[in-house]
Amino acid sequence: MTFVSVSFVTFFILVVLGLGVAPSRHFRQRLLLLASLWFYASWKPVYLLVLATPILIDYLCAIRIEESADAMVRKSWLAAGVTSNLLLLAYFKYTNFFLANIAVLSGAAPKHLDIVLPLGISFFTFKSLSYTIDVYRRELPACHSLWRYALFVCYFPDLIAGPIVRASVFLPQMDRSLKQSWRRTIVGCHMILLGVTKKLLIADQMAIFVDPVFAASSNYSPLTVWSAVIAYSLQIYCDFSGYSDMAIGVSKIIGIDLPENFNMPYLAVSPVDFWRRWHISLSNWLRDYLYFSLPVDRSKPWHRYRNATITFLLSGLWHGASWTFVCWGGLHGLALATSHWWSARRARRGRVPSKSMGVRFACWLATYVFVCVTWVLFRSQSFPAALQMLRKMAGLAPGGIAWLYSPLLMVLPIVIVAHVVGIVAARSASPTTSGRKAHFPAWAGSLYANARASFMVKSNRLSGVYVLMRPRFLGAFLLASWVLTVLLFGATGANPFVYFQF
Amino acid sequence: MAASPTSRAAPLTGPARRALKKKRRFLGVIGVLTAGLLFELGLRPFVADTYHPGPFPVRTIRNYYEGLAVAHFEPDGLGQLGNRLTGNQPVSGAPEVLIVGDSHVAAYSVRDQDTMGAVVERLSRASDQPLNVRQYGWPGANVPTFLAAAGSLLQARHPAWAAVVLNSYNIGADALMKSHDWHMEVASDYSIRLIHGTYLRQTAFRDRLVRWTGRSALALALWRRVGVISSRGTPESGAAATILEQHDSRLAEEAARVPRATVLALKKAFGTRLFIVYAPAVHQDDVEPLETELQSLCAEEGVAFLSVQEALARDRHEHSRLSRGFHNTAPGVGHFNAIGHEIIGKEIWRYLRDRSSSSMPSR
Repeated sequence: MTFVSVSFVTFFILVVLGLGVAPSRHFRQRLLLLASLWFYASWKPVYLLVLATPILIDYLCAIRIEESADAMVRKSWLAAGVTSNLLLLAYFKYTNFFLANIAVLSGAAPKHLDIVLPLGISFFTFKSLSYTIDVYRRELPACHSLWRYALFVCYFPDLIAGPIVRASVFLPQMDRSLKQSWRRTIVGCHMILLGVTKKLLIADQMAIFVDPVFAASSNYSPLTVWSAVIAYSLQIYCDFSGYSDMAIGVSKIIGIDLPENFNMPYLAVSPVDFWRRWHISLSNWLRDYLYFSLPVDRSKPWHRYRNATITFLLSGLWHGASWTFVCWGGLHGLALATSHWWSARRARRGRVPSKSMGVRFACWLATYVFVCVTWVLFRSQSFPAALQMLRKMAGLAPGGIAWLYSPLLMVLPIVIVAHVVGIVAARSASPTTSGRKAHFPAWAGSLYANARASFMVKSNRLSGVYVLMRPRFLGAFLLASWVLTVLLFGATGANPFVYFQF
Repeated sequence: MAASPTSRAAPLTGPARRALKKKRRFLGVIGVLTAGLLFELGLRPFVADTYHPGPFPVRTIRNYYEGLAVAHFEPDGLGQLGNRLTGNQPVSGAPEVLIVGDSHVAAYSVRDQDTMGAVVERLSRASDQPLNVRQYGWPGANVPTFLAAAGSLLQARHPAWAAVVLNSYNIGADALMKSHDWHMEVASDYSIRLIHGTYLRQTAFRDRLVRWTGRSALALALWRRVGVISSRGTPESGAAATILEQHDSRLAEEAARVPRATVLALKKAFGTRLFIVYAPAVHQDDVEPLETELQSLCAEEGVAFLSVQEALARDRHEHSRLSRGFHNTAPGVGHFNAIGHEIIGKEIWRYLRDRSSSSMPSR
């Protein structure tokens, strides 16, 4: 049951109606939990047991940690909670990867166990882990209601592909009434429409071109391969951020706020900047629970760079049980470490970051090209396939089929213009340049607000949504045009969300 | 930033608030209608004549699923839409070649002058052995449809040659399925019975609905999109037939008799004018087993057979070109593009020139 399906729409309408008629907050919470379990069981009912394991273990561990004053006991319960989650993840996600590598090292025949990866296991184990660690660090009180805790772990909007919401963000919202409001519904519908647009109009359209080129890159010309890589950069962004938008929108209608996950990542001017904008909930998770947990000697700067590299190597492994993912993560880790080292070196010499447009453009271009090149490793099925692709991109294997995919040429300028509008809109409302707002006529302000809402400028998103949804001429015109565009030009093939595999 | 409702200076009174609400609703409706009107005007150039009532001297199909092409048909009462025009003026007195097939012959996705028939005409005229080509394609149809139309086609056109372009879908279990206008039953002695199907039976209501929808480009586009979206996830007819075949042993047995029955029935229907052109449904470097079977059956029954598989594969390797797919589709997937039609047209012309040069009039 994916968000872009008739079955999900039916399911969600029933949930909303149920929440509407439920007499109290507690009823609504229980209804949400049952709906979440139903949502997960619709894929494979037996895997509800997998979902239940971290819920029960971490629930008990956190209470024991909170109850105990003895540091050793607390540490033991923490270890129990963390180990159980990691073992669960390791068994379902990495067993075959380990077996294959052992077979390669030992020269024995490779063994393959028939293990089906539970949907969203990487996401719900991380949610559960963060809760136990937060309780251990005394940053969060343990949750004493199993219902509430279970709802936190298996809350259906973010269960399959994030955003990775923290217990400290989710559990306090349980005290809300969870009653729908017209305003929240409008904002939620807008977010869902935005997500559907990204998924059907961009991501799925790009997949049509990307899949065959990545499957046999040796057949295609270098220019075609480059265009496929650019198309993939748009596909994965719009696929994943589209899913996040839908999850945030669905959750908003229910009455729970989920954190933002993207902020125009392809405008990043350095790898560090990129990871502040891409999959924000994962970046923050890795920083808070992995990077800060690694040993560091502050007198040795290289310890920080080493830890950044290790964090990203593990981030690569989290994304998939394959060396291509590990290599992808490793490259990003190295880039991050290099970026930090360069900034520190410049700071030591008293140099401030250049504000020149040319330098910023060069930094942006270098970052985007780096991200695209690493996407090749992320998307390719194997190292030889990735190397073949990179050879093509480097011009070392000329010749091949030249294929110009027109939807890419149509989508690319729209994305570029939308990002430019997004930047202008963000600046027009920023406190430092608020004087500029007066120069924009009302209709332009409304357009900017819509663009800001659409392209992930976090601040003042709500007003953009509100302007768009108001039944006035411009709002109605834009909304009607938007809906018709998605209906008429969205891809119709049923493509699963890319991040479901993680 | 546009003014938000909270920035109003003073609260409005009841009647004034109602008037403002009314005005906003009115503006909202106007906004929606303006968007609809813009889309209506923008989509107008892409509407096919198929949905418009009334006779046409030339029927126009504008395709935007696979590339952007305009196809013209002469509605001569034969075939689904009539004769697919080639963009060439007919040469009076020149012998006619009939090309019959499914959507690959209807060729909505290529221009008139790029169709295989147009290529045959140009090459024949350049060689001073002019031919007039008539092309009749039925999108989604199979051998039973070609057989059902054979009599009227031959009677009306009197062609010197009749090329029937086939692929694996046309001569598999799909030919036995009831999902098309015509399907067939194949007896154990390979005799066939053509059955007129009930696919998309025209009811008065449906007819009215289509005619009404056809008046608006936007309504038509939305109607078609809803159809495409609702059929999401269901396999195409050829694939559906293959799945059914795997679960139905009787159907599988009958499907196994289709190739021989096809050769016999086409031979009977088109006579000595017939030659079968086999164009594989998807690109592959190796010859399909079904093609090999069809070739040997044709040899047994004395029916001329022409395969374009090798020419398509050779062109791909030598020129790094794809004979299928369009700028807005996956590379190499879908119907034949202009390159594919050019290759098939050249092969048909080569075949006609080599085999029948003695019977061709020279100018």
